[in-house]
Parts: sequence; structure tokens; C-alpha cells
Amino acid sequence: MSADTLVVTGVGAVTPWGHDPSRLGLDGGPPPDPHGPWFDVAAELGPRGYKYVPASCRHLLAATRRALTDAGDVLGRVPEARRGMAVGTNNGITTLIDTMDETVSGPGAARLSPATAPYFSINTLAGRVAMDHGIKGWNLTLTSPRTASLDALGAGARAFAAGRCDLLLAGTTEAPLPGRTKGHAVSEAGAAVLVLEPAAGAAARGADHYGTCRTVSFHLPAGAPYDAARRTSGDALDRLLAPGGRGGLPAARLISDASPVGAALAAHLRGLGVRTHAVPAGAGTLLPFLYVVHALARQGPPRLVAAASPEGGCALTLVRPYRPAAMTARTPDPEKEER
Amino acid sequence: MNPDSSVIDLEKLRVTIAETLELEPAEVTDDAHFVRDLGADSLLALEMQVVLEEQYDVRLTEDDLRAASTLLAAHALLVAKAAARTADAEARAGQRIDTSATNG
Repeated sequence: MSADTLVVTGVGAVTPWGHDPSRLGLDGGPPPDPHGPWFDVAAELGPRGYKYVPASCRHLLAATRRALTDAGDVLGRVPEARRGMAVGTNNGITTLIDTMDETVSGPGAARLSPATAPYFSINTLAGRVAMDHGIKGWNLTLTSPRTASLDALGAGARAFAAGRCDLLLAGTTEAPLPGRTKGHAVSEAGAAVLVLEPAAGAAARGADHYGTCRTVSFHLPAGAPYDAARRTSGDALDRLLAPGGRGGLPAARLISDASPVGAALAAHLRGLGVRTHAVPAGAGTLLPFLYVVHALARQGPPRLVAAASPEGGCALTLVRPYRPAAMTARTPDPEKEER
Repeated sequence: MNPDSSVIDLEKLRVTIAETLELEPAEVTDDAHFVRDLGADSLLALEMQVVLEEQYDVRLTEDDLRAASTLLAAHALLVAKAAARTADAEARAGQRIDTSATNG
């Protein structure tokens, strides 16, 4: 591992599956009720100051706090202008926009809540986190269906490689969709954040790390010829696995809707020799990221996490956990957890 | 609209302002300054404007808000606004009666 390899030194999650990243029961049947009382805003963030903050932003703030606490003293070592953040979300403000639409078309724009209105822009979710933690280098929000959370990892890593930051926070957040909206029944809720920094920086401050993750995003048109689509998938896999090549291919979790694109990506991955387990997607982009977080936190062999949208967006993230002694003590035995 | 909004209940107003500012009602004492003592910022002041306008069916200006910086001051302002609204409504009703008498 070279000194400038980006490693994960902090993991934080708040989800209906629980808040311990190493114990998320993601393969244990239908997801828990996203509307249930799984998130205690006062316990996570404090008793005051969050009444007008949308649920998805509360989730992101809480996951970020957890990730930074897990990472240890990292903010104090990186100037604010050298901190960057990339966040993926699909439905982070859908309910808020829906409510604002109802207000404007009902009692009128004068009745919009001034304290909530700033969150009408999707960028403000990560913007609020940036304000709380002095992230002043750059801040990016991605909204590509299903893949945005993995895309955020990829975009963040590219920004780091381009020298735009020395500390990267990458994450995702979602909130339930309004009742009458398509996808409401498979709404997602929760957030997860990773703290990433160069291996040399982590070593210099004596921090353990969870491992690395690399992402490649690509487009797989629904009607693409089979050979071309397979070539595209293979190229993406090769870029991800380089320089080691395809020897010892990791198993993959593919999170996708029941769509021709999802089916095609699953077929291509299997055709390329990747043991692929398909997982039904929720209505957002949370689930793929949670698989990444879970793989890092529980350690074990390398894993692929894939996501595909019906529109053709695809992303592959290769997670390579690293297991120093200190982290072994705080994570369960992956062999016992392996399904 | 509050059906009896010409009467502004001080304790109800205290609860409304406390909820808006995310405080306990007991923290909103009669003379506590919303900004200096209770931590309200400009955004929360605007929020309070919208909440009070809706609850008491009055129109408030930014100058009104600046002047109404405590519970008692806000109460006095709302009482005056509600009274002015009632007087205005009565005047308009009188005008309609005059007009119909003239036309009749």
C-alpha cells in the first residue's frame, strides 16, 4: 500500500437495522420499517437545534458524528480548506419538497416555513454537515438513481487523487418517501459516512484503518447489444481490480431493481466469474453503501458491492478490509457472520 | 383564523413561542429577550413571524418583529394588531351598510 492510498479510518451509521456498522443484518429479510422509532434525534444530536432540519440531514449529521468519533483526532490535523465531502442521496428532500408544494399550492408561499425552506436544495444536506465540521475544501452531492452513494465514493476518491483535499468524508443519506409516491413501500431511511485519509496520514497519527474501497461507475444502456454490454462490465471490473487482475475474484452483492439493466449486470458479472448475489434495491441509494460499510466494519475477505438503476447507471465498489489487531477486538468474527 | 383572536391569551402565546424556538415554556419568561436571552437568530425570527401570522390572522412586518423582542412586547403587538383588524372589519361592514342604504 502506498503512502497516498486512501484508507478508511472512521465508520458511522444510523439505520433502522441498527447503528453498529459491523452488525447490520442486511441479508436478514425485508428491511425494518423506516418510519419506526429507530432514530432518537435528541440522543444523537442534542435536545435543541434540529426541529427544522429535515430527517435525512439529521441522519447525515448523526452518521458523520459517529464516523468522526470513530476516526479519532483527524479534524484537528487537517486544515478546513483541505477537507472535502461527497454525499449520495436519491430521496433526501423528496418529502420536504412535496410538503412545500402543498403549502405553495394551498395557503400560499407566504406560509412556507422560513427555517425549513433553505433545505429545498439537495446540496444543503451535506452543506449543513460542512458547516458543523468546517469542511471548506469542496462539497459535492450526487443524486444518480441507486448508484449515487457509490458514485460519491468514486467522485471523492478522484478529488483526493487530484490533490483537492487531504481528508475525505463520503456518505449517503435517505428519508422515507411521501405516502402517495411511487416507491413509498420500499422507502429507505438512514445514513452512513466513511472517513478516508491517506495511509501515511493515518499512520502518522497512529490511527488504525478498516481498509480501502475503490469505485468505478459506468453506463449500461437497457438495449445495449450483449457483447458490448459484457465488454463494458468487464472493462469496469478490470479497472477496479487493476493492477492485480481478475485472480481470486471477490464475491459480489448486486443491489438493483427488477430491471433489464440489473439482470444484465448480474449476468455479465457471473459470466466474468464473479459469484454474484442479487439483492432487491430500496427506493434510494442507501443500501449499496451500507453493504460497503458493513464489509469494512466486520472485516473479512475482499468484497464487491454493485448497484444498478433501471436507467442504466451502474457502479462497482471493491472493498478490501484490513484487519489490524486493534480493530479485530472491536468487530465480530467475520467467519461466524458469513452467510 | 382563531375565532376569538381579538383576545390574545398570554400563556398560549408563551407556548407557541417556546415551541417555535425549541424551548420549554418556562424558559420564555415575560421579559426574556428572544435574541439575547433565548438564542433566536434571524431565521427563527422569520419562522416566528409566519407562525404568529397564521395563528392570530394578522400581518406582521420586520419592524414589528424587531419591536416585539420579548413575550410581553409580542403580546402587546398582537393585541394591537388584532384590535386594529377588528376595527377595520367593523368599518368595512359599516361602509357596506351605508352603500346598500344609498343604493336602496
